[in-house]
Amino acid sequence: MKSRKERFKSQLISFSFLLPYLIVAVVFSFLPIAVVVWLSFQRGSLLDLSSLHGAGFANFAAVFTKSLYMKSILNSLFYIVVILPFGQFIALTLAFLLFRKNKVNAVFESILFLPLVVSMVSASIMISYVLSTNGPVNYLLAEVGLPGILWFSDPVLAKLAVVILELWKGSMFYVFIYMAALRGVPSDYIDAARIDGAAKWQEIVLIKLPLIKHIILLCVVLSTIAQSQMFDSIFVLTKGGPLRSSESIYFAIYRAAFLDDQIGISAAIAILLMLAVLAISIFQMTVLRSRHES
Amino acid sequence: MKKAAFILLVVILTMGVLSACSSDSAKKGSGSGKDGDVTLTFWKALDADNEEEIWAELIRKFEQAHPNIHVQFLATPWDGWQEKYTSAFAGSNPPDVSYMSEYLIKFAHAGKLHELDSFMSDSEKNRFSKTAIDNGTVNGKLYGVPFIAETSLMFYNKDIFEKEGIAIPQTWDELRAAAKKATKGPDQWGIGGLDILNTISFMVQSGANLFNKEGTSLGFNNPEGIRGLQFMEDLVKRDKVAPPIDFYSSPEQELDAFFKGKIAMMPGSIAFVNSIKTNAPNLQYGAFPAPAGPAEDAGAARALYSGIGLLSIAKASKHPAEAYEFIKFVIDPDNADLFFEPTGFFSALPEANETLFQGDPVMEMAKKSIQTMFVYPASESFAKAIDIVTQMREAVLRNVKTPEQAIKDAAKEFDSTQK
Repeated sequence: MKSRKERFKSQLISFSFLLPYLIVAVVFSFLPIAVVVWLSFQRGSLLDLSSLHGAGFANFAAVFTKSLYMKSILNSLFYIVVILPFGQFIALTLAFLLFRKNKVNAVFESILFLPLVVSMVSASIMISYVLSTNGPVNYLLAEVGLPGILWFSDPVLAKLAVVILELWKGSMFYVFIYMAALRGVPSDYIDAARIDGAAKWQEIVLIKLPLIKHIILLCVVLSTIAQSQMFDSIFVLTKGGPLRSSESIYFAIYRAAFLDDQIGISAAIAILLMLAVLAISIFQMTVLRSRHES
Repeated sequence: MKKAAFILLVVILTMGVLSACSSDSAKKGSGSGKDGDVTLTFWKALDADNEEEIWAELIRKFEQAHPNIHVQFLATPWDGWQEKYTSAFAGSNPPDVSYMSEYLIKFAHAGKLHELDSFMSDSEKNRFSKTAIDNGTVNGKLYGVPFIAETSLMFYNKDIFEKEGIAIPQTWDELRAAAKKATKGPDQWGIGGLDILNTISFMVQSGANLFNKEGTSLGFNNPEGIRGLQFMEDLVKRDKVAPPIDFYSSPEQELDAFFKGKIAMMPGSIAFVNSIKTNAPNLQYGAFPAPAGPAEDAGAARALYSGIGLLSIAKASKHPAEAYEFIKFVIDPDNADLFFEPTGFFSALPEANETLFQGDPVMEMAKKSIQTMFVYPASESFAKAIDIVTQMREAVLRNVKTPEQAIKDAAKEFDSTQK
């Protein structure tokens, strides 16, 4: 039987091994977040921090009353609502098609892997060329006698262009997670199902999907977080245009900090974004997990 | 024994992390090395393709003359200029010397720049034009030494003008007529390059301005501003003498069209001459001052974008005297041929320009335009105003708003963000 003092000592030793990480985390993660929380209640300019003064909840009120900020928040929601289901559906479908290891699949696997090794900026430049007025897509349309599409002149099409880029570049990541998960499903279950006379779709819906449910949950949460943080793709592809119609929430953070010169509002949007992502993720986890366990 | 080893381990790990953080910041920025050696950092956004080599040469000469001062040059892009400089100056490690433009006032107001009155006597200031010195002065104190004087001209394709028998237009009406004559077929346009700065120029030529005198609200929320924006809209939509907003997918494509003789007239900064010389050496081009708009002030009526580029010293700089030494060297008329001749700009110091670009008719004309230079009133909200004009111009060209509505909304948005 160890004494309390000894137990405390052994705990202290265990925690001390975390110390190097904790220091890094506090300096580069917790402290900045604390500063942003503090900033969100201040009013003033980033350039002149000595001029900051308390503003109460005025910054948060400004976020919800100014249409400029609201518009980009709604755009971010649009991106999440569209990209999340389509992206996961495409990723799952591709994973089901490709998870068996053979030579043909290996070729497709390499092709699908390509977008992952390209940086987002290069990918955006590529897509902006493909969809440009005189780009390959409009060339093909002209060849079959159809009018060209001006992707970057229409508010809805510009958002779709961003969605296309994010699906092509972003969703491929999940294909490989799903593929790994499917490869990990024990063949005993599948064999048993086949002996019981399960059809192909029953095999997928009743056996495989439930078995990789926790992976789907992981991907849904990861994708939600990724989509709420979209910035570089939009910035390179559409610059937020036409007429700010494709701007995500990060544009509002940028605009408030650097153009409107109100660091407090910028911090307030960032805090709201963090809380929203946290809330959505917790919601997703509880909903998906409870079904899994029941 | 175990305890001692454990403590040692913790100390080593902690030190490792801490030193990783601190060694980085110690190396950065300015500092004095051995025996009075001083290292200055100098940031400038590049205006010409060959500028980096030019600075390398200038700095080499400076270091030869001042063996105890070293200059580290960093080329920063104009894209994201505000973010980069704001972050640098908000932190404790701004560049000792930085090249400033319309943003100077914001940094001066925030107390981030070093006052230069102690370095520069009145007689030295008087070598510059009043416009230039005023541009570097905030609340009666000098914060930037005028360096580059940038003006713009209306460039034109001589071949098209000759072929269609067009005379140099002197007024807005003549400009419209000339543009109509020069517009041919599906892809030859009378006038191009109607970008954000030139949208402002039309409003200025009409009698408005980017800001009011104090720089606290927009200066084009008035009938003159609407007339200017309307004029640009008419060129594009009613007369169809300028390319529609989606005709070229990038500004570079539009420039390329001018190089290829597909655009007859194009307002552009004087640095455009260098660009033509490299990209289209065979283009027969000329330039003229902007055709006069209806503004009462004669200078404003012919105004195109003009700006003064200034050199400033950071308040946080540890070596302001050495930094000023460097600025003095850079603006010295004796070194003018090192920087201005190869980049295609003019100095803000009139005496430095006398020997520059002799025999080039376009550059001679630009040299004259410096004397009547029309610069925007200084405002802390320059970046905001440019963003708003960008949206306003696009809304008009995309048929989303009338010029009147677009300007009204622009003013509303601007005022809503003023503190």
